Amino acid sequence: MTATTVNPKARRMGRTGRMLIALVVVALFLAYLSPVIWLVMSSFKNRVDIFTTSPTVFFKPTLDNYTVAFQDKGFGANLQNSVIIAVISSAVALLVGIPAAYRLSRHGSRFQGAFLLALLSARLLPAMVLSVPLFVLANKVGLSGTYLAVVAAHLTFAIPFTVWMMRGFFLAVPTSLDEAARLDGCSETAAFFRVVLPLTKGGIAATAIFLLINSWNEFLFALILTSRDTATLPVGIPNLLTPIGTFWGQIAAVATVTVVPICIFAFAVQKYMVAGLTGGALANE
Amino acid sequence: MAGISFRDATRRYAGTNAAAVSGLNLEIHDGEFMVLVGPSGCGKSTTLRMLAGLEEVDTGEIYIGDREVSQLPPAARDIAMVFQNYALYPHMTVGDNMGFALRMAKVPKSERDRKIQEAAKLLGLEEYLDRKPKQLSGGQRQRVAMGRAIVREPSVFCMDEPLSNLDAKMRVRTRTDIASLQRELGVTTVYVTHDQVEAMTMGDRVAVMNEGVLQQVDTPLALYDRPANLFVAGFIGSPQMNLLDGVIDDGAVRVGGYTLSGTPGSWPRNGRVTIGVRPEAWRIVPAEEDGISIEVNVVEELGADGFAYGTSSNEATPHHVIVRVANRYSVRKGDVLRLAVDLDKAHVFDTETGQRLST
Ligand SMILES: Nc1ncnc2c1ncn2[C@@H]1O[C@H](COP(=O)(O)OP(=O)(O)OP(=O)(O)O)[C@@H](O)[C@H]1O
Ligand SMILES: [Mg+2]
Repeated sequence: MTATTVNPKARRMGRTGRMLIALVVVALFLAYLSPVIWLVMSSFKNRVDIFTTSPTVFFKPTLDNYTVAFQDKGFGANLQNSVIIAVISSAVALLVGIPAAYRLSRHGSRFQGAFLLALLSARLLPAMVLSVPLFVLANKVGLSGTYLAVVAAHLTFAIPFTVWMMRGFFLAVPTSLDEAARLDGCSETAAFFRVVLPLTKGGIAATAIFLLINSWNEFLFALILTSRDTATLPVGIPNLLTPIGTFWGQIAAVATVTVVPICIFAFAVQKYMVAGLTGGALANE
Repeated sequence: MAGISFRDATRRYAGTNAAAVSGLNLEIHDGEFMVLVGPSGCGKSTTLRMLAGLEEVDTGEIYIGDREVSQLPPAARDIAMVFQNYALYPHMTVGDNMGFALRMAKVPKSERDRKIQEAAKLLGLEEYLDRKPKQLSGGQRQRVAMGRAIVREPSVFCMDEPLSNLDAKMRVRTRTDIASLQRELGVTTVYVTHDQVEAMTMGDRVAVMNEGVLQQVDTPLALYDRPANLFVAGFIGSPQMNLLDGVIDDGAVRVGGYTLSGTPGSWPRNGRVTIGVRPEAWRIVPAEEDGISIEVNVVEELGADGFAYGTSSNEATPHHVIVRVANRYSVRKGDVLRLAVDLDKAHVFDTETGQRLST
């Protein structure tokens, strides 16, 4: 009703308002990022620079922390373990979860609701509750300390997560599309691969990223189920807190290698993540 | 090309009491345009989807030509379907959408392109072949959906309310386009709609369904002139047929104190009946003649003719009566009209069973 009278004023206010908002955003951004910045900078500092009472932005960078941690102290192996475990558990979760999710999005059955709820409740259990039984179980069947044990533990989260995520994306694809494909000569499987899957690429990318990040960051299961040889990066870090001192520079180096790839990865595929998270927009509108 | 035959086809969805389609027997001739019509939820889509193989046939059989298809997957039935939401593949261009079935059938690319071009030309889609569906208007998408069906040269077209997403004007235009295209191609077509005007204007024959049961199959005019039961009588025709409470009394048919003119017939029995009178079947007669008086509440002018809606003062039917008034300006709100009808223009139904009694 008062739109015409208020508008010009609102626009003037809007300009300063937008500036203010931009300032707040930048401030928040820096605040959130500051630990990461501190971490990355510390990883390139020598002992003296790290412990100086007047920290400085300008210092003589060194790669010593990286070479010591990853070559001399064996964190290269941890890095490799992290990659193996994250990739395998994510791949298995996608391979198992995507067909399951598709099926659950297409064929209503009497037990579907109960099944989905069961999946969800498995996800809602605190990891701590599962950790002890899993530890005992892994020992009993002699899997303790193997990749398989950690991968299996990660899958307890990863598969339900994939099913729930992907089911949402599949539900956003109208069933009439697969039906059209089946009438056009596709088997049910061909309809899935040729029509449904291409439309949910974004969703799959988003799910894959969440899975990778989750396995990569996971600490508790990895701690109790891995041995020295199979420990992941987060599990390895506490080894740098030793009786003869805490190697802050090396901790920073390992932590940087843990955190930075995720940031870069997420940034590189953010287009897909956004597309994936707004899934429905892709289909018939 | 082939005829279609439903034999006692029944479909009951899991967890529902009544069958969505029960005991359907329907013969569709080769090259025929058959329209399935009925109110929402009556089982039209289910019937179509059983034919297409998208819904199981619980009992009974469906034949296309002389092939029993009810156990075959959709891909093996040689049916092309136009969906209500068109179901175009959003990630493919218009050309790829139309050629998808041919590609699945491993038709060589040159032949495929030729057929796509042909269909595009027929439908005026040539300049849009490289666009994605979301870059098209609703009407264009509808035509792509048609194009995707016709490039395949299937033995049967199935269409489930393909016009319901178009505006009124486009709907009327596309209605005739589809009907003439079908006649040109001669492909057996089953067309679902809940709009009886669409059904009457497009179909060679129309099948009227209600609550999963087929009510009557016949040509549009035969349905209009000789509805088999009360449901069809009330469903076909716009405005609706007037349905009045009456009795049969020694061969004469009466509504309250009014006895319908014409020679008394031989009815199976005396008793309560329902008398159907189309709005145009009434004769407006002078007040002193025998008839039913109505007081006009509304006059709906359609240009060429109009309809008067009135309340009857007849003790047997104290409700709405609709009458066509051909002579514009002759009837106004508040007028009292005297209506009479000849027995051979009225439809007499058994009130209890709903079945038609008059011949
Ligand atoms: N997947 C389903 N599960 C259970 N019941 C269903 C299912 N699909 C349809 N029905 C029921 O079957 C009946 C017939 O449905 P159908 O879709 O064939 O109706 P329709 O005639 O096409 O109606 P409309 O004009 O609204 O499209 C309805 O009562 C409906 O509720
Ligand atoms: Mg329907």
